Amino acid sequence: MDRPISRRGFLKGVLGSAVGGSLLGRPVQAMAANLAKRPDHYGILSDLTRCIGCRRCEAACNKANNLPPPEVPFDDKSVFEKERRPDAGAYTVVNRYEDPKTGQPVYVKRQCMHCEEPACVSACIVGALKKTPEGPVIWDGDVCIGCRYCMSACPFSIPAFEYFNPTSPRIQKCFMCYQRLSEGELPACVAECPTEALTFGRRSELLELAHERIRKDPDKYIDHIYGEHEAGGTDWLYISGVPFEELGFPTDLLTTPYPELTHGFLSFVPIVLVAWPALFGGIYLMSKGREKESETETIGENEREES
Amino acid sequence: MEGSDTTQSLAGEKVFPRAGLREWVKEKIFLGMSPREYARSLVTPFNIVAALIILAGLPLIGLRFARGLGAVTNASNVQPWGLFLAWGLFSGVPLSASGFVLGMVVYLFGLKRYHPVVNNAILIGFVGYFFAVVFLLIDLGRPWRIYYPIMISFGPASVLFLVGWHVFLYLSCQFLEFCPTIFGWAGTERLRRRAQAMTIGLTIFGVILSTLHQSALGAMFLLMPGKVHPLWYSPYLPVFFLTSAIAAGICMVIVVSALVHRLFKGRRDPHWTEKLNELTLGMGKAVAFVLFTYFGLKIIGIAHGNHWDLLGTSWGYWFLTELLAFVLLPCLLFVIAVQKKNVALVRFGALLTIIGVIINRLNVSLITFDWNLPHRELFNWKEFMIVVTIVTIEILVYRWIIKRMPVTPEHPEYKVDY
Amino acid sequence: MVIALQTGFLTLFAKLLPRIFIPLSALAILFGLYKLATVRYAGSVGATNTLLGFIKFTKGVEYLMAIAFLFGFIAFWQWMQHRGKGLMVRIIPVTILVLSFGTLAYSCISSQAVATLTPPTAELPSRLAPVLVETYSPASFDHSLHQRLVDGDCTRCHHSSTGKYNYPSCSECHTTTFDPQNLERPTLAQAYHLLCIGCHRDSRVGPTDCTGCHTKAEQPPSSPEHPLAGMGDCLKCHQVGGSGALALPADHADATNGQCTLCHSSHSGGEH
Repeated sequence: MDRPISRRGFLKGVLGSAVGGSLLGRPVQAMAANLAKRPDHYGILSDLTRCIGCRRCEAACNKANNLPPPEVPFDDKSVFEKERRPDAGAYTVVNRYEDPKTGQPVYVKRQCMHCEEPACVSACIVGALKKTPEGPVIWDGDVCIGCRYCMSACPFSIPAFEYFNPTSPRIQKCFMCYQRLSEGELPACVAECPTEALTFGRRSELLELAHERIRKDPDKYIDHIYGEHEAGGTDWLYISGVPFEELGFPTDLLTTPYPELTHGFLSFVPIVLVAWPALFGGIYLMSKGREKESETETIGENEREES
Repeated sequence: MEGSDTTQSLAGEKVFPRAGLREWVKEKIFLGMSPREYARSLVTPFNIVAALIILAGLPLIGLRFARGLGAVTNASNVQPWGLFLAWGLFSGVPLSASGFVLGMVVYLFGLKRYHPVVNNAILIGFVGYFFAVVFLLIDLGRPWRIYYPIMISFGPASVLFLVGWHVFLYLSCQFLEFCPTIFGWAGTERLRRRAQAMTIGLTIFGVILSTLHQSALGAMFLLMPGKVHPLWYSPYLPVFFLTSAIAAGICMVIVVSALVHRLFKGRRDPHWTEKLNELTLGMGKAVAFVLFTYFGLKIIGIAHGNHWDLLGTSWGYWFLTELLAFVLLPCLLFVIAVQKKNVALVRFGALLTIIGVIINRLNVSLITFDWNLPHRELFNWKEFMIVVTIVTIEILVYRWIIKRMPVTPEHPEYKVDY
Repeated sequence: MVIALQTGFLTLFAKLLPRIFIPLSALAILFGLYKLATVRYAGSVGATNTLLGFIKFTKGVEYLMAIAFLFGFIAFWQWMQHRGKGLMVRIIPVTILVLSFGTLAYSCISSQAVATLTPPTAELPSRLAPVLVETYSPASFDHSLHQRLVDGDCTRCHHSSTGKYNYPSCSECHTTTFDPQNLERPTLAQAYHLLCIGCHRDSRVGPTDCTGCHTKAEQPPSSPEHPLAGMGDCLKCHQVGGSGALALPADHADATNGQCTLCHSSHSGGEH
């Protein structure tokens, strides 16, 4: 009576899981190729051969985003003695390195890379971090719960947290002056840079510009645009005369977008939700059929008959 | 317990005793003693130490909420997660897997002989998950928003979203699975039976949820290939975490049952002692298989990444220690113990396994996290103290429940035959 | 009295519980579904032209469908395993759940066509709107020194020139505003800096930081007489040797190619 159905159900469950498992092998690349063309996001090209380390970009960022005044003023060059990272009070920092060939200082501005397919956005449990259609990655303080998964997920370790704020700790990072952009103004750092080390534009045009600069001056530049493929592509691009490993850039990043790394696992979830009930329901029925009728209260049948 | 003033309903079932609230409180809460006697019985060395720990730890917890996380942890922008999550969530959850494993074994596979330990397993699971949530509340930047991923704003591309939903559902599921015991304790028989009827459905649901979130905790780290050391990072992380969670769950039942057995020294029944030993040996056999499988999976993980050369580095030695001393060794100990019917050795092996799983989780989430940064501060004493405090509270809560509710056969009201 | 109340309450509770359980749970689930429908999804539901949008959308739909199937399984199980009265009571709430989640999933799919993605604004943001108030005084520059240094090769600085001594003013090509059509061409002050500092760096002589050529200025004089915007050529009225506010300080001569607004801008306190 029950057995034929349970066996069938069991087999169905097993088959379903097998099919689901084989489907997982299909790479996301194939799906990605079917995606509509991605919008051409805004980006910023940072030309490290032009930066003179004046730190006006830091000062402009501080002022435009109402950040707390710095401990060391922005025209103080002593900060270059240590390699700094952006933190809750400074969305961007400039670090000084040395060109191993010439001994000249090289200055590098670090900030959020505004990845095309950001790991932080995929990690955010409440969707507080968003990749806007224009390009910048912004943060919504109304829903953030402070879990800090975005900080762990970011391959550049950029998002900063206000650890000493007990009531409303915020995630702080460069937002590419999204407010200014929506009013037609350039990001503050771009507007203030005296040597136009920062160029604002659409990503495709910036890539063209970067390739052009490299082509025109092959001795001056390394033939690599950092951010073209790193982490699946970023909206903040760098060209440099010094190899990027010497300048504190992480160079072991994947070229596949980071959200793809968890996509495989997430795809397994609905399969489990659908197939496991049949699988374990079947196991239960098979085991129930096999054992002798017991009088312990744990078997639901007794309850059902009595009630 | 059968007083002359208990009434019986027409169906013959025991209804809430008419003895009155005070009697009920005395019987159920104070274990049959007067309040003064009870207070005096509380003064034991263990309780004194526990009280001291809690007294030292509570101000630190207050400090965390008054001054922010930075006041009690060494968390930085490159290492955002500290001991609260590494211990409370990542280690605490696999140790609480006992509920789903034993539930699956008893209710789904029909191995009725393990029924005497299943309630305890569910309790361990429930208390474990509950305190994992407590740790989460301490660690979140805005803990009052913990319900946001459930009903305010979703981030479905995130594995943590999955973990959050599953912990929420699973906690409810474990609570409902434990309800029969609670109702049995309170004396409401009919409610107890209704709750019991839901068990099969809840168990299947629990198995589904557990499979997913135990592996999801591993999948969280898939997003950070550069940060977790290559020997620990693998696309198979979800499978590793799930397998070791199953092992840890069973071992927790072994160890905790033994401790509970010792706790009820006065009221032991020799028949139960023998039965418990038998069950322990059986569970030890199962864990041996799981550990062997886990060992094989780990080796495949190394082969998958071709990381054989990394085994010669200092991180490699640590990895080998974790794998050989805390996975392979307990596996072999279990095999020997089961052959020789040595229950104490099984318990020792279970302890080693539990330590091994904790070490593994700490390695992935804390110790090898950002392994290639020049200097890191993993945690500080305040964080450690808070963890110890919460664990002490957890043990006290567990002990309170187990002394009063008919969870294990040591309790006089335990109903099921064994 | 108290005892009676307690027992009474508990029996009442035990009797009511099954009866109110189903409507209560149905209410709770409907409320939950309402919340689900109005919940803020990160990004628009239909945005699937990025990988992340694709993942978010498909996961959302997959989860809803899986939950519907889960409930469907319960209904299926009940139907297969049990016969007799009470079957309808068990099945109806579960069927409601299945239909709700299925409908939600379907609504996500069907809304995909409707939801439009906000396109990036057609016009690139281009206004400089500098934020920093502090400025530097015009740079001090010794032309004859540099003439000697380049040893007759004037095109080292006067690049893009057509012939000897026919050097166009820098501002003829380098504007003071950001030109999105000409990304390659720096704005005026930036062009100056790139040229001067670039050469100083390559040849290892000459200042490469700001104060090497500029001194930190206090607020440049504001103009009480007229607003700065919309004025034409400042040098028509302001001359070296002029009187009062019309005086042009000697160190301004030949300094900024007539681009007075480099320092005297509305942001530097010069606004009326």
